[in-house]
Amino acid sequence: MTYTKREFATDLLNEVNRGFDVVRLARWAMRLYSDRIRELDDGVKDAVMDVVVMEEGPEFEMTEEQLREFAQRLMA
Amino acid sequence: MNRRSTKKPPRASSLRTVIETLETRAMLASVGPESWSVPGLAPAPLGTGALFSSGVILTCSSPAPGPSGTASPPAPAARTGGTTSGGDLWDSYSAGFGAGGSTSGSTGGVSTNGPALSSQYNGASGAGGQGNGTGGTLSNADLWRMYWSGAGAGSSSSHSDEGSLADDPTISAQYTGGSGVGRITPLVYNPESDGPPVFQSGVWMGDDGSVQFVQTADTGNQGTGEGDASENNGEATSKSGGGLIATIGDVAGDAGSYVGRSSKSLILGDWTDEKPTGLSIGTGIGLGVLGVDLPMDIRDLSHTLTHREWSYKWGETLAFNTIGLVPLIGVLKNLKRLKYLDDAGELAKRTDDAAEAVGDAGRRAGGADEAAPPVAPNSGAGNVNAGAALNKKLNALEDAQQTASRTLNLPDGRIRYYEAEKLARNPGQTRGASFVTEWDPKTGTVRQWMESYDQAGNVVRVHPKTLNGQDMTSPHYPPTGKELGQ
Repeated sequence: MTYTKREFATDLLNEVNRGFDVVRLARWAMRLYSDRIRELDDGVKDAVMDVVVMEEGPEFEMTEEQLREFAQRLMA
Repeated sequence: MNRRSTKKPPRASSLRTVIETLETRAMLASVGPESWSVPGLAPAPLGTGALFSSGVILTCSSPAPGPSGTASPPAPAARTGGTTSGGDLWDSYSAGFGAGGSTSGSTGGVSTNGPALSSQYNGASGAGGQGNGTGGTLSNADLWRMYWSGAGAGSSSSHSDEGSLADDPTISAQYTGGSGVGRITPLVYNPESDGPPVFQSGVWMGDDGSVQFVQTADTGNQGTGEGDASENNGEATSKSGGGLIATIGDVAGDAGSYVGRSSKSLILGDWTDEKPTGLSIGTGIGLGVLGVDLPMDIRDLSHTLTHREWSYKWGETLAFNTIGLVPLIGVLKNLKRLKYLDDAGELAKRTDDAAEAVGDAGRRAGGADEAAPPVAPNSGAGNVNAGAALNKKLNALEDAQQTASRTLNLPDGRIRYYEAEKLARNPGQTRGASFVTEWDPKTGTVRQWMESYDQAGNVVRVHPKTLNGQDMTSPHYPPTGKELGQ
């Protein structure tokens, strides 16, 4: 069973809807990556890492609007 | 491709125009890079290169655009290097004729007809800067003392494509790839090093902050299945069992050898140099008592008579072997061999050692629990979540081995797998970050962390992520401003 970009985008939007917190979202993505690493579809790992890396500093952060756009692009 | 390790003097063509050179240097020093010009050519405005066919450029300082590049649109649009023909460039610190600067999607230029490039610190015709670069083409060039790529894609780039070198250019003392280097991160030039050329394409920032050149190894399929849950017990058992098996094996080997030596001694008698053993002496005595040892007596006597020495020892041997011909009394000849019974005693001693080893192994196996350090309940292999953690650990390692963009073999055996660098979205001190998985084959430990790089490619921050499949909630090292409450 693979975890697709669309599923990740949906889950990401759900997490954003629970509250926008860069650190919380990054750690959520890291847990997802760690738990489902063998299930990730092509390109999903890269997308997950884009969220994981947000915790590494302001240079990597996305605003809530950017993150929603990011999720929308994944769903497209 | 010829490589020279010694420094080469400037080309004659450079010296030929030394006066112009000095004039050019003075002009550059006085007016700055905005007004660079080359004798015989109209001044070129900044950002737009010019095609020139001769001239010498000295000491162009970085980060000015390549002196001969053409059509360099503003960043971040893709840039394409220009074309240079027959120029002599040396001591320039930036790209000779490639696309320079920090841009994405750069493509190197083309150089032909033998420009001499020396002491360049950046790509000759490669794409520079960050982003996905494609190396240019360099032909008939004479490159030496270059510290960056020859015609390859430039620095700090993910997924860079190689450039190419044509017509056998001479390259010496390069510190990185000859005809293109994909993704050098970071590259450090050691000015103290004047040794042979180093072609490794990677630099490892050590845990202690030291910088070491390391060889980038192919990403191989490393074996997995390292079980960490029961390592200690397994190791202890292995040592006990291994020791026991080794001891018994030695004794068994000795025993087999003992029987072989005994048989050889019994059959060949004095015709072999093999020392008699207790077994061969006892068997000889038994055959003598039974009166069936006459062939052996004749065999030994014939050996004595054919090996005459006229010594006391020979006389003694002759006497014993002659007595041996007498039925029953001839058993006494075996007295001459009793001195060799030390070997049999040694075997018995080794057997005692083996028995002691067996007993010791039994004691160690029985007392393993007492010898092991106290282990907290529900920890290690006994943890109810050990299976899940082990599964995640092995999955992480397997994925890292399959998808790493760079692999690093450390001197102590650890292997690090680097994911492709994630470039920063926003401007700042940090250029990008890579997700790293480290496997220690000796201990089976798998660690994962995120490490961030500054603009020069140095590791400036690490953030532990997992340890042996278990997620870690850890601060950054050093802490971020957010963690410090700033």
